[in-house]
Amino acid sequence: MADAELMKMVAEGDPVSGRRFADQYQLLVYNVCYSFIRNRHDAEDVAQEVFLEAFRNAGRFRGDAKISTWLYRIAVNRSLNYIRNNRKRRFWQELSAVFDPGPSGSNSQEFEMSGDTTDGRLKNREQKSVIGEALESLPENQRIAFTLNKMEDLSYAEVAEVMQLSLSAVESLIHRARLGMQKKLKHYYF
Amino acid sequence: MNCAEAERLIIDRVFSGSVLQPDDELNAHTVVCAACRSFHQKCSADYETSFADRKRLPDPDFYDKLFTGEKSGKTHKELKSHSVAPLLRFAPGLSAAAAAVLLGVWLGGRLFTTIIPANASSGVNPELLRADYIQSYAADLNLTDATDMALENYLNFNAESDDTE
Repeated sequence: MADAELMKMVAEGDPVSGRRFADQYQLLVYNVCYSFIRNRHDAEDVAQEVFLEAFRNAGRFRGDAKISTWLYRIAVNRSLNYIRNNRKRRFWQELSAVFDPGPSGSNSQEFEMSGDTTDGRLKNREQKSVIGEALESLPENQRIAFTLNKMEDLSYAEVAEVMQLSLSAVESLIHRARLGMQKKLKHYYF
Repeated sequence: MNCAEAERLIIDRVFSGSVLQPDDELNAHTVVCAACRSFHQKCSADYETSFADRKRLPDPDFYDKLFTGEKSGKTHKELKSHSVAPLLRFAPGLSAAAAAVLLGVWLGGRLFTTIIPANASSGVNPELLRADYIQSYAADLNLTDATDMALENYLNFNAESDDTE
């Protein structure tokens, strides 16, 4: 079924097409959201919001672009909005997580085995987020272009389509993002 | 290949996961360069930890969760018609703005009614106000003489006539 036809059926409220649409694109949407948000639960929430927006606006999809391009655009915008709106909340979450990592924390075993204390936890969490922090510190456009190209494996042309920029602009953004990442990671790891 | 080139390739490879083919030149460089080898290992380990929750398999219940979860509260069919959600989303903000404007108008009004009479009374002679008042009262009673005495006489006379009636 072609993209436009599938979206037409989704817009009409056909549950079979809706399920097919959700099943086909959920990984794409979730992984984009997760690449930006870096928290599984929050990314799942935002991915659901992306799909609800897509279902609501399915009738507006004209088939000029691919469904994936359209979804990438919604997912990136939603994720960045989420990050902007939740900076304060995240600060308090991270602070409480440092002092109370909980039994399900992925690093709790390491702490127990090495007998680490709060200092160890802080260091571990700091190390854990270096690559993510480096990515977050990039200017927004560079971050989007880099994430879509490297992590989501989109070509430069596809990134240009999602970001509605020229190919040369995307090339420049990715090049600058690589240099920025290199500078930050080198500073930390060497 | 120098270290700067190797670092950029390492970053590409770390973020791209298994998508890229092995790079012989980079491998040869990391064999002889301990710093780049360490950089590669640390970046890879950090990436694995930082992005450990990327999914590789779809959730078979995703569609059901979407429409049975708290987020939507609607079925797919209900959702297809354009809802008033955007309106509702902005409604609290608009209401707050309207309330703020009304409060501002009310407070401003209160402020002016408190300030203006004070200013007004300070600039006008009370004797002149009294004379104006008596004159208009006399005019209402059709009296040609607008003095205190004439008014008093008129009122006394009418009071007596009321008593006799």
